[in-house]
Amino acid sequence: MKPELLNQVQAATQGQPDWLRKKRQLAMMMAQELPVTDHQQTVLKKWLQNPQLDINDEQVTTTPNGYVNLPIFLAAQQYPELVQENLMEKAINWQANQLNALHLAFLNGGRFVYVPNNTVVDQPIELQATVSGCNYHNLIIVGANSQVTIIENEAASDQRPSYLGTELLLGDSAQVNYYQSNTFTAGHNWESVRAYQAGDSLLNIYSAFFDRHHLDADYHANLDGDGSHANFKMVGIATHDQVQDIHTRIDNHGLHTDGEILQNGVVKDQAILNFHAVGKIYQGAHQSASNQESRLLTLTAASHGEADPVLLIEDNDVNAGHAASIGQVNPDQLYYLQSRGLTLMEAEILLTKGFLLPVIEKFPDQQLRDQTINELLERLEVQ
Amino acid sequence: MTLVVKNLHAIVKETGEEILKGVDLTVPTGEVHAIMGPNGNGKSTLVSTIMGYPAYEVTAGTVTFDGEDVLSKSVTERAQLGLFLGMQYPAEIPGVKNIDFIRQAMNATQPEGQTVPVLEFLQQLNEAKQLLKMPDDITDRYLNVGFSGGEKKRNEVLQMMMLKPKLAILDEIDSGLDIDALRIVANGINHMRTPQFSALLITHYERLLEYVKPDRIHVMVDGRVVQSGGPELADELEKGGYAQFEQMSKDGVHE
Amino acid sequence: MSQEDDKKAIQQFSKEHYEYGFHDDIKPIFSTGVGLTEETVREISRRKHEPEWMLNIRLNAYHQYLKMKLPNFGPDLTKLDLSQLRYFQRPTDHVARSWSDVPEEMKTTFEKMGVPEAERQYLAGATAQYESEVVYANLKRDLASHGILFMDTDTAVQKYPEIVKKYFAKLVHPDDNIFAALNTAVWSGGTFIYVPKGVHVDEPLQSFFRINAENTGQFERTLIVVDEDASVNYVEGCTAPVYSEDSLHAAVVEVFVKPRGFCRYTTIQNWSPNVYSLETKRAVADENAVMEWVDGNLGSKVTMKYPSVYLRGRGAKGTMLSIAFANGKVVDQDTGARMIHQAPETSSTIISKSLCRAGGVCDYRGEVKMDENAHGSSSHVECDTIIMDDDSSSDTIPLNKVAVGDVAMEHEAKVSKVSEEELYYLMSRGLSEEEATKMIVMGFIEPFTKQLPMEYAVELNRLIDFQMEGSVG
Repeated sequence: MKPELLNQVQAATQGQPDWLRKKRQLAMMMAQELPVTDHQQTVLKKWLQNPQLDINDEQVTTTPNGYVNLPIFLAAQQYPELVQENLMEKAINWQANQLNALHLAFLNGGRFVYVPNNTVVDQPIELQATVSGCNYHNLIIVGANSQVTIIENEAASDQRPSYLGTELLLGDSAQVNYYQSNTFTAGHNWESVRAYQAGDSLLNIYSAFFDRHHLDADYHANLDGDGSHANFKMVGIATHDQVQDIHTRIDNHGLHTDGEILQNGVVKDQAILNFHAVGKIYQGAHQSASNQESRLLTLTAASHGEADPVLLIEDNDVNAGHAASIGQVNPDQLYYLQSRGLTLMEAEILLTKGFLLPVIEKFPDQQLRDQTINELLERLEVQ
Repeated sequence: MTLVVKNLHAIVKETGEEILKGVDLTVPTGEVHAIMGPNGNGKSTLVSTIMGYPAYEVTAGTVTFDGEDVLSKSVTERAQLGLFLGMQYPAEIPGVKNIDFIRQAMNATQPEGQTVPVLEFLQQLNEAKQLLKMPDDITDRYLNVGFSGGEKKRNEVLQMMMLKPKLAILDEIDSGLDIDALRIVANGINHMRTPQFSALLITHYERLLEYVKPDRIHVMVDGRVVQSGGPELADELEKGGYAQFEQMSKDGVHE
Repeated sequence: MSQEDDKKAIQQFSKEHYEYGFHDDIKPIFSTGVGLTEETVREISRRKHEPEWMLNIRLNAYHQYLKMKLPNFGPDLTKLDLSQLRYFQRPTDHVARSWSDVPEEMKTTFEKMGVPEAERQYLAGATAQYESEVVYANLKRDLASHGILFMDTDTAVQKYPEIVKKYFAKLVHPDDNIFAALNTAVWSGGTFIYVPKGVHVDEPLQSFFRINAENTGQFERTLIVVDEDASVNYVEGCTAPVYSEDSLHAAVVEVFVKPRGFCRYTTIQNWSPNVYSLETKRAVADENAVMEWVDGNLGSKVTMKYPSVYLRGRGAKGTMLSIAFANGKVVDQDTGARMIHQAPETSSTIISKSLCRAGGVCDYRGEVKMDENAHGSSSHVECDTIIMDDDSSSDTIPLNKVAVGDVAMEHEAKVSKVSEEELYYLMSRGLSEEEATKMIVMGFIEPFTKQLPMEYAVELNRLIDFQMEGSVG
């Protein structure tokens, strides 16, 4: 890596806590030793050409009661032990690859949300920011027996590829509902949500991939503690020349753990949507379950994609299964709707809605269901 | 071949919840007994426990069949003793033909090394199918796979007739059957009645007992037998429902 | 585990489980010694009196082989030392046409395997491979009179060079994988079948072969061409005795099914647990042709096999029906299928059933690919696995990739242990736990067994029965 870059990182981290400075600089130096994939390469090349290390200026507007919600650099000063121990360690590990290392080195901003033990947060916490600068990171820690709903609607405004990363750390019996629907400006972006779960915790992730640009998404839940559960419910749309590559993975380590992935996607024009789902049940994870369903609806002859559900099973006392399908709109249904007066487009929209609705309907919050459906319709109608 | 159940207590292994709270029951040889009671009060659990269903654990009490201890035996051994449980939700076994299974099960309960001769087997099978008015191809299909609820129940009775157990326990054999099928199934059960044959029926509707006249009826509430009586008990229940017995259970009164 | 421990484990395992653990004391008449050089390749070709064009194919493949590496996926092949294998044996000097010409010891081997017992009317003719060479070949007059060619591949090179030249290595190129390259360089034996236009072979054509002698590589090369509107059913089943050194079996099978032709290729493999079975099996189906693979993988130490069908013509159909049984700690079954849709209105079906126990590993690696010409195509995949105990494991790794939107692709998989509900039900009717387990297992693989010729279904039944003994408790 060019020494100027290191200097830039050093300069950018002025005023930050010592441990954070060192960590970010180390990440910068070590980055090139770390592995990198082609997709990651296309993203970070743009950063290296023109790194932008300014801090996303976020004001602290409210002081919530019972939990913490701060801009991440402020949190690094106010909650050093929590942030130091957990920032890009267990969930999104900064040493895993070059992209993650540079994400840390070039960090522009993010949020720190901390819900202490035994706290039920009634109102959803909304993470809504216009993110300038490419690297934005949310560190969310939910203590034992706590419950919280988090809604992430971030808008990345940079022309260069953005990396929005979110780490979710759940304590024993914590329950987290996490909704995500982000938008981007650059042509190709990266989204990562990774969770690390203690015993009996429950994580529900609801994602809508409605942005119009190329996207690589990486979702991972580590069911470390016995009895933990993770549910991923995802809907996606890809149009025009868009390529969306969605990777999801749930690892079952503890006993009685349960990982469920449900993904429905619609592709049209010449777009590509790929669902790669992996469920791994480790030896000793008795009575665990891993189930995945990946379904792709192709609206045009030129649209296409991949559905690769992978099961890696090392224990036999399990319940594991997966299903995948790639197919078109049922022509009988299309004909039926048209025969009742709908135009082809109207019929297609109806059937697309019908395809994604069963997943959206599983989002437990009515408001969010409606919001997602609105976004979906917007996405389909605007050509 | 008397079945004697004494003070049987059982829990659900996974949750520890106690379902059977001291069941006392005797079914003497040659008699047909019925167990009735509101849903969710332990009737199915009782018969499953007698058969050795792995989800339940006995915490106290004894079950003997003709003097022999039942609870210390494996499921297989209990069947070979002469017990048969017609299940409420029979498992589906893909790829295994009904007829092959029945044949193997019959041979399993024969004396060592002996098998039922093919001709004799087919004859008995056809007779049983006819009596139960089952279609010919039912035995060529895979064991319970794709069978309707009623077909599954009749298949249980078919197996009972072929295996000729000493004690047949039927768990809600009448649920899911229309009036004609009910009569047919009852016919099958009555066909088995000899002084050496006993049966314990958990019924869903009292109507089955119009066709299979029981010698004795037991009412089970909250994991215990709270009342036993003759066939007239069925009429009482028909008129008054279980309310009085639920009250009895609460008051701690039981037979 | 060290190599020593491995050997001990294999020997112990074979003693306890393997009923075919015997081998004849036959000294091969000719052997190229240990290891592979260009001279070895030339010698093999010389001994077979091959034409120049075949020698060139071998040499090109040999040089390709030198450039290649072991596969970067799947089971561990590091203990396989290719330099220690013997590459060619010829037990007799001529190919026998009738049974009476076959050497006595070999007849005994075949008798032990049950070949003569197989009903003659099921056999249209048999080419039995011993070591690397076909010893016995017999064509029924019927076959010959219809123009059906059924012989060992060596003879085909001599007698029907035009056909062989047209198809040999056209589907599986030496650069496909290292074992294909190796096979193309040192192949010997294998089956050659040509069915002329419009001819239907009514009875299954069968072949038996096994590996003998320590460290022998088995590189048979099978070539099947089914011409337009013709059909054939080919069945092969093989066993191998147990050794203390590893044996490699790297066959290549190429099948060409012309428009409206039909071919079903059935294999049951029951190699002893020291054999590496690394095969490349590929078929191409033209317009409205049908190709069916029926594959039973019951033995071996490591099997890597992904039979594929290239659906090249409109309306072509490919199916794969397979079972894999990984029984024991040394066993790794890495199998699957590949269906490549390259034309419109093509369809494929993959049904895969796997069982693993006692530390065995069975992995499914499949691929369904529909390229930009595959409009209106469809594919259905079902792969189910039963992991019988805590020591065993299984991965299901499917790749489903479509390049056009007007298609239908469905994939389903389930992994579980033997259902307790099912066991309880069967046991409550008097079956012992072992009997009940066997019944469930047989039921599980039934979609496969019902497609087998009867004597194979019987053998398979006996085998699973035998393998499941003591499996419970």
